[in-house]
Amino acid sequence: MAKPLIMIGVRDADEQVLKELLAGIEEEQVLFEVFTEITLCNEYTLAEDAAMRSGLELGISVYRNKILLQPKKMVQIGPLPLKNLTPRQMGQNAARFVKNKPLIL
Amino acid sequence: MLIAGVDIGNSTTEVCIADRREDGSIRFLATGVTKTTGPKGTPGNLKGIKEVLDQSLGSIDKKLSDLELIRINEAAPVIGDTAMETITETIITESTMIGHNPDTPAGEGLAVGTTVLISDLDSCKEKDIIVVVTPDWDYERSAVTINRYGLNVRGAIVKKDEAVLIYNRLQIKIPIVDEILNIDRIPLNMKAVIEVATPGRSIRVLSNPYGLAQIFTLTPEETKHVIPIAKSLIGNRSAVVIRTPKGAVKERSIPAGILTVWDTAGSSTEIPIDSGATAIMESLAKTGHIYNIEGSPDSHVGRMLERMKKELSALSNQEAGSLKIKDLLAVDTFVPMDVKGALAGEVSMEKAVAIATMVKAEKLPMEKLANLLEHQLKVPVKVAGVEAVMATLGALTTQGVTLPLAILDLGGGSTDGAVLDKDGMVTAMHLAGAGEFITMMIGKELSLERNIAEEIKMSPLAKVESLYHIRMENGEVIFFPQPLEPKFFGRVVVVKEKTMIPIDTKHSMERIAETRRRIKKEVFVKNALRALSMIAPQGNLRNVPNVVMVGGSALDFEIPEMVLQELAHLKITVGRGEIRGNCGPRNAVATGLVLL
Repeated sequence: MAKPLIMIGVRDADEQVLKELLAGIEEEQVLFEVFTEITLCNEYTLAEDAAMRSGLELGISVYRNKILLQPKKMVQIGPLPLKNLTPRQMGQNAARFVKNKPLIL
Repeated sequence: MLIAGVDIGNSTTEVCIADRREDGSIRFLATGVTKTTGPKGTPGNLKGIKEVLDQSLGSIDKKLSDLELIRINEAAPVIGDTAMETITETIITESTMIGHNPDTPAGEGLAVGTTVLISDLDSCKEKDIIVVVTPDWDYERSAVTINRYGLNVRGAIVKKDEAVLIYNRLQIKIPIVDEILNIDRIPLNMKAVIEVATPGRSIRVLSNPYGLAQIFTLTPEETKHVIPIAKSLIGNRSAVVIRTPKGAVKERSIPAGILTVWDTAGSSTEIPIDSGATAIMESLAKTGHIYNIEGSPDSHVGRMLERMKKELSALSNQEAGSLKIKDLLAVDTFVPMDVKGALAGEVSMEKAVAIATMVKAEKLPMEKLANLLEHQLKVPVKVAGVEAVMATLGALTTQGVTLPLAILDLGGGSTDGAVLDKDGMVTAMHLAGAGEFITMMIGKELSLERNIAEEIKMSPLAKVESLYHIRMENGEVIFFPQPLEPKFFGRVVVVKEKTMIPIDTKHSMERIAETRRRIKKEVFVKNALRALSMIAPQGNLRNVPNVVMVGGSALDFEIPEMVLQELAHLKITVGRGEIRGNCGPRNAVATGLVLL
């Protein structure tokens, strides 16, 4: 059984973006784990891979400065359609999603 | 002969089209309903009337010119209005500032100290410090700085949503409250106290007047004045209270006022508003026929009634001075009031009385409207019959009713009752308080806009529990084949037939549903009993063997059942009308006009 964590797959990530994303999740008091991927993958497959490994059924990919939130139950459909948010807000939304709290839009 | 009955109501215009044969038999052909255009009884109505006639005639392949007669009702000249006012206004002056309830405070326990800006910590000699973190300090720098002062810092007040981030980086753990919007208003070098409860609990010290008295060493007199502070903090997970010794606690109370009720015999009764809605309604019931109701000048209720009269005079084209308030419905409620000295837009729930009033205008100019209509449509138009009589005639087409028959017209602007006895005599009553009043109260109590309050009134609620399912307020679970949009996540939604509307609120689904049901009961169950006891022969409810509910609010998904439950134990047959067996509770007046 996977641990109750949000899994975050990272490839060539912008450090500041990743840091802010993690701060957002931390402020909402949800646990996470970051793994680095160096094999060939794009931001979508990376997010899907993270989702499949997350006990909270939410994966995140950080590819350069781009963040995707991918619920495991939506792997066939794609990441959450969230736009124009700061990395901090994306992190907060990831945590709120697993807590089933209203998102910042 | 093709004839049309047209019923112009406060909110909807309804038509019934029928073929009247030589032998007097009637065949109903079409019905229609649209929003009333303009205040009822004014030329503005023409647009809506024409629209709905065209539409319903079109549905049976007929034209306006095929009509031989249009009958319009003698609309009851009553107009309702609603308002809400707090009973007392308590102001927490600038000498005390409070703030509370971010989503994610951090730490736990109570912290007392002096407020010091984080940038001033270096020059500070205080032993007990509540540090004020301005938004130009990020969480890492803040944590490092606080760590340097160790034991002296007892708690922190933060503007940004970073309480947990700072807390996680502290060596000595302290309670932290964040999302303090107006951090620049916090007085410095003043005694402040922070309380954060453990998860699942609410604060205990700051929501207790004696707790505050202990911390700030208050006299019994001063303790009395901190009650509003304690009250506004009840139920919170976290809070901050800062007290500046300068300036006395000012508490200003505008008197709630007194209602004076005049009866038609010329005697009057005075009812203080702060005796509450129950006492007000009891006194009104004793008054008999109301001639006019006035509020004492320079009081909450006085201003409220003046405002209503102004609005009503604009609607009815009569001078405000000549308008008489013929009925009033008062309901106890709580409304959120802005807290003065709030640090993050806090509100405090204050006791209030919501009031709906009803004025009787002079006879509405229906003849004039009829002439205009005749001129424009080139069809003979007649003003026929009083609204209440027409409604009972229409209601008689409901299967299973007999005379004497009572109707309860649960409308938008007013609740009307009428009883038709075996000799064909009709007694009618118009009461203040109906659908619009409910919408206003839902909106005010839950701090929501009118549009969303109206939606909450009309449809059941659900909580979005996951990407693919919602749980309705009755516990049913509904699944969706496609994931829901992010705007719905975690929200309470109003479930309409084909769509859902998210409600932007922190209130739980249970709280919203409870509020909706309570208000509906307060308005319509109370008004149903009031109306029936006024029109019942010998004033005895048991003399009304059957009651038919008609009107727009009788279509509501729970109001008819509420009224039924209340009246069922009086052995009265009561139910929602089935006009002509297929129109539901709609179209009673229009049908009555055709039958006449």
